Amino acid sequence: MRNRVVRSLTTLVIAFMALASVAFAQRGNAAPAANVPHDPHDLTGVWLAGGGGGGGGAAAAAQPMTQWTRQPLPLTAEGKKVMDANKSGKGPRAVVPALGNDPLGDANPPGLMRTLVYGRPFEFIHTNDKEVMLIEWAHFWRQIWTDGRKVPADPDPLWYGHSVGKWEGDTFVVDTVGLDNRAWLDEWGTPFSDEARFQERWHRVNRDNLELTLTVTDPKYYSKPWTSDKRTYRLQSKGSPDGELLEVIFAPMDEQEFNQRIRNPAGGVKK
Amino acid sequence: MKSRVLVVLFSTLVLMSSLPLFAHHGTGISYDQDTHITVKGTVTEFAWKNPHSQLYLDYKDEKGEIVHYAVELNSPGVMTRQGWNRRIFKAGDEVVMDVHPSRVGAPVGECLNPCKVSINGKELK
Repeated sequence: MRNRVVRSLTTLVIAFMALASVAFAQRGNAAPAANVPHDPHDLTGVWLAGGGGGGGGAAAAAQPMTQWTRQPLPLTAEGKKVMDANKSGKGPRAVVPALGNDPLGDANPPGLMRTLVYGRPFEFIHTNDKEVMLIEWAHFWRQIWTDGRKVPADPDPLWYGHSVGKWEGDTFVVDTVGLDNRAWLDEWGTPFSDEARFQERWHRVNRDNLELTLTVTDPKYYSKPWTSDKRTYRLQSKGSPDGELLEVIFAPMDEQEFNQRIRNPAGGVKK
Repeated sequence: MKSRVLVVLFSTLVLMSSLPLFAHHGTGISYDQDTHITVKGTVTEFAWKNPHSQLYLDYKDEKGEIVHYAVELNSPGVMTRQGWNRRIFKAGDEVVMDVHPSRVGAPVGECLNPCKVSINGKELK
């Protein structure tokens, strides 16, 4: 009898693992579609994050400091101070959300870079002078100008920044400045300063799979530029669950109610 | 030995089934992600709101006193993709659902997709 139960449970676990792997593949993990024709310079479509590239090499940290890379971050003393002060409900330094200071806890915008590591779909729309990103999470949009303009020398801060893009071979290179640094780089509270500059390198490896690496240049918070592990995004077909963007908005009045009635009591905090 | 295998297999299954649930708005740490409890109650309110929908239930505890229980649900977008809508729960519905309970024992639980729910005896898919 027990043997039968053990066999049944083993079968169940194996079946679950198989189903989970299929489900994950469908939701974003890279799968080769090299033989399907596509224009490598056209990023049009709805894309869903499939996670990091799992890079890191010999120096990879057992416990990453950020969702962007498994490499240790070259934080300056000032950067470390800010990182320590950022209290997220997620990641290796997580605290109960009511005791944290995640900007999202009050329904503030996630900001650009955090959005790119979050698992919600976004859509690229091509026009003659810019690429537009429609972002489901928090219902934002972003313009990447491709008309030859330069990024502003002294930008005013924007939650989604000032971005320009150009093609280098089959890689779409996007430079961004002026990101409002009240946002975080990821879900774990990784900071950036008001001097930070960013370069995204997008590469459509085949019809269905898109890769991104991000380089952060921020001498105030990081002693040298650092580059993320490769992140992957998978094309969502029309009619699939994530194939069309939906409205996901952070409404402060709803967030306050949620915090008071559920978030805070769940974490044992009365306020 | 066999019972240990059973415990390990069951724990693995529970742990694996809970992994996607952390992918929410940072509240996952407030709930015991290794445990499911079954809550049975009568719906008093359903808030279909972004980015956290909420369900409120009443039930009587073993002393006969009414417990007001709150359940954190997913965002309308995620639930829409699952086929749910704002009318899926209504006041007076008898609901049975598996939730991750609050770590501090508060009458609050988390039911993010996928989680097992039945309404008036009918299980949701």
